[in-house]
Amino acid sequence: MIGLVNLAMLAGLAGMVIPLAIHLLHRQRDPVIDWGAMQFLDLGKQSRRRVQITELLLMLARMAVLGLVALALARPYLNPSVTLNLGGSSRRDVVMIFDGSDSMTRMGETATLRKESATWAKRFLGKLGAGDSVAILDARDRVEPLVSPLAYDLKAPLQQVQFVGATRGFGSSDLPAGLAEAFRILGSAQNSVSDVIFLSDAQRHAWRPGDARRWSLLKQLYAKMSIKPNLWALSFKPTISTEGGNASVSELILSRSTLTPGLPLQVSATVTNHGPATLSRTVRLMVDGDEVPGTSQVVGPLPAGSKSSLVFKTAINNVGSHIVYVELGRGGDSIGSDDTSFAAVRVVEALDTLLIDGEPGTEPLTGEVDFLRAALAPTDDRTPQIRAKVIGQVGLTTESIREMSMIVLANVDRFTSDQLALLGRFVEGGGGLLITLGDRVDEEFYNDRLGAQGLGWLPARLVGRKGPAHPEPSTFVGPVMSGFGLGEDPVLKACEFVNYTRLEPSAGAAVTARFDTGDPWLVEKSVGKGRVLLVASALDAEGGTLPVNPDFVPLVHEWAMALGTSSLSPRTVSPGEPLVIELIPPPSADVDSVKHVFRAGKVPIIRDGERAYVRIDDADAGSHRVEWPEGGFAYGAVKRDEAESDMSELDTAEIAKLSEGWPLRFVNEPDQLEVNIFGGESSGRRETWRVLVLAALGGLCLEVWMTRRMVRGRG
Amino acid sequence: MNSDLDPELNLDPTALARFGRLELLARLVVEGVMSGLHKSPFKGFSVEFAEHRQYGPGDEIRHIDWRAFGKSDRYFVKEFEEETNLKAYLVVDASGSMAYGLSTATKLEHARKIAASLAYLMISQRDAVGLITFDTEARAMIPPRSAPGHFSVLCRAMEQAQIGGETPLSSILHGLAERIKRRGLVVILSDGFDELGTLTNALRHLRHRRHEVLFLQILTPEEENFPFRRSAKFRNLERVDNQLRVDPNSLRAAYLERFRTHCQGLSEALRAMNADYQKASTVETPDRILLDYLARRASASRGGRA
Repeated sequence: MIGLVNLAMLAGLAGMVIPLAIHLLHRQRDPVIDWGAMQFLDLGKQSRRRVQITELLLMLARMAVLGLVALALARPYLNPSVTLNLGGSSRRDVVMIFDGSDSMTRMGETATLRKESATWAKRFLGKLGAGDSVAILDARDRVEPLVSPLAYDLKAPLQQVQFVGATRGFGSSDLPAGLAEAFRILGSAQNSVSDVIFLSDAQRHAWRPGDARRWSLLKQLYAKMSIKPNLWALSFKPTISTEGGNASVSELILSRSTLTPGLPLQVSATVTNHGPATLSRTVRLMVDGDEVPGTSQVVGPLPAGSKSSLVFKTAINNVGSHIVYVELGRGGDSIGSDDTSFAAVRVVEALDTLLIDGEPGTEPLTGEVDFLRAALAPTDDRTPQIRAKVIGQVGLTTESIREMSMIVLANVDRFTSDQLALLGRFVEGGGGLLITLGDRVDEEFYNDRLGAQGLGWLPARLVGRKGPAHPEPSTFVGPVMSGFGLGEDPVLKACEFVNYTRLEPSAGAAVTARFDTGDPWLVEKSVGKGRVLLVASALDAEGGTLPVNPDFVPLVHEWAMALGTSSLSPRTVSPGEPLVIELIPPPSADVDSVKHVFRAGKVPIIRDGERAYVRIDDADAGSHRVEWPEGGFAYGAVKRDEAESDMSELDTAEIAKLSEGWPLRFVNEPDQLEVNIFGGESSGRRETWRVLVLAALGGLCLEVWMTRRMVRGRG
Repeated sequence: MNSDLDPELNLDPTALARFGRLELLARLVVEGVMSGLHKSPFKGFSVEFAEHRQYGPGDEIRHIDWRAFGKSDRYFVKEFEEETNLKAYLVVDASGSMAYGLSTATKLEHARKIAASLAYLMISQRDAVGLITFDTEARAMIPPRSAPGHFSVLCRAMEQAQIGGETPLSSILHGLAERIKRRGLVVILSDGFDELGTLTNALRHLRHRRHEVLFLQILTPEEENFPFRRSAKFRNLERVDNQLRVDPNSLRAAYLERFRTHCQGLSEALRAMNADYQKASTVETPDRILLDYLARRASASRGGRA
């Protein structure tokens, strides 16, 4: 099989017609000389024929020289099936894709698999010669190019390989993404031979064998490449401990990620034993590096493949950013990085809420918000978590909502245009809005002005009053409501509403609770950076028995905490997702970057009005802390890809499927791969341009000789 | 006539009008030649008796043939045909190949100049000069005379000579050898591009008739050196249908060898039959050629040659 490196250069073959064209043109344009001494010119038929043949040969020699040069520039190569050795060398482009996942931190025979793969890569680089080029990728949750584009000087690749050996894997690895990047890099390859080498542990998850669509696309991409690379998957095997196993801690589920000092925080986690052996491990809850007293416990014995759910409770008193994590104790685990799971929380001093009473009462506890105010901020609490202020509808002004985290609109019939604009800005800027619906509400006004036709932030359309009804705890969903639906006989089920407003949820809204009639009770919607919670019932004693229900106080606290902190709450992001960390309080204006402790690097501050935050696009799984000069700091957390804890390897069928239709070969012996690459199969592909250049030079010499011979004459 | 005048001659246009151009050129050439010669190279022939005529008043007494008076008792005066030393025949080749001339005048032009010069030279020495021009066949045949006015006759005839087609020079020479009874000098002005064997035979025929033969081979520098570089179509001047596409570079060596062999063969053959050969390149001026030839002839005469 013969292929070409620079197909376009074949266009140069057209140059072969140049001598022919010159020949014909000269023939046509030959001047006519009237001549007397003809008898001396006429050499006879034989001699004329000889001259013609010589001329023809000369022209063919010139055409051949041009053709050979064009062919040499196109750089043809012979594939292994052609056994003839023409003495051409094969320069190669190599892309190495390191598996950057946790599983590569497992121990091999002498060191971690990652270090072993780096050692092999260093040895391999040493065998490359002048003209060879290398690119290096670290395939993690995202592919990190360590050397890209292809480097012909092997100094940088050697340094990066050393760096790989010195660092550990994080999170999971996306090898198909690495291959796509390798194809992109090889698009600009110059050499006729190219290799993509995966340095992995054959862990199934890294190869994504189930992602058939992506592999199919990659194969299509491969088919379109002009120089098709050899694909090698070199697997480094860990030393398997039959006694231990691999336990992992799942993503943490927090009852809330923003809390006030002393407010209980519930942390849920699952410990899984991925095998192969049964194991027992201690597990504990940590806050800011310190163990929460009394949380250490032993999990197990856990048989391989089983899970254990754990719930921890704690409270944090210090205002500010905190990192919470659940950690397994040390002990014979093949992967340490999945033994810890992180989440960031923020503790705020107190939440300021503004309660707008649509129907103030003349006597105690007859107003729309009297019970709510009492529940949120009891009058005898000196350090309330929530500070509540009650005003009438006319008091809703710019001044009154300043510094508020949440506004409650309790049975308010309608608003002025200014008030509507004010409320819109408040919600979109990150505030929380709780709307309760009583008999005073002007449904038409709400639907027209606040609904989909108007401002668009009302979560549902109001379609008349109905009653009575009870909350149906089995329909409670979401972080706020799900807790209230737990147990055999949830307390909220007992409360009764005399009447309620029927709601039709609008687009983008979520129903988090329903009545036993099936109608929505609570409908939520995100608007801008804030949230709106629409309650189909009133919260006073007239509307029903909710204010006297034992769960009323925790319920409205949860609502307040959820709505009032929505824009500030730290969120644990998935691998590959940008990590956003709010900087609270914002650093002064002259500070333009924060120190990223985890990476020992700087991250620029992004400012949006009074808000300041940083965005880390390629954050690895785990905790991240940023610090700024005024003593401020904040935490962020990226969850692990839990599939990475599953150490199972590709099986034979999966390997066969992945290798199908293209030359992807799985090799377990590093030495064997070197033989394959340098000594055997792939290096059989030889470039023949040198031979062609030599032939062209030969043709040139022949041309010169023939020309001289013609000029001198041969009698 | 073509009009490319030799600038070295610095001709006065009025002189050109009075005399024929060729005539004038020949006079100029010969003036130059004569000034370099001390005595006529052509000598040794007796004055030839032509006829008797009756004495009339005014005739010189010394010309009366007393022997005839004795026989017939009447006065007869001896009439001499010409007071000539030599009968010379100028054979001017006007065949197609003589039309060639690239960087110089054509060969025919050159031949004319030389012929006219020779004619003038010889007539001025009272030698009788005749002329034969030919292309495909003999075109003009003017018997030799030495009268001064004869020079103009010759010149006119030469000027009228037109370039013709392919000519076998040998057949013309054979014919000439047969026709000329009295021995004389046959001056051939030709490129000699004929088959060497037949040409030699014809020349030998002339020699056999005891004619002196002078072969002035008219050649151009292009023919001698073949300086062409680019390939070209060479069209035969004697046969229009005959043309040859030639790459000069590849053919030069062969051409030159064949050309030189031919010229050398011709000169050797002439030398072998005791005839004169003089190369007359068109780059050389006629007086130079004549001087060369006459000097050589003079020295040969001193060496004992008739």
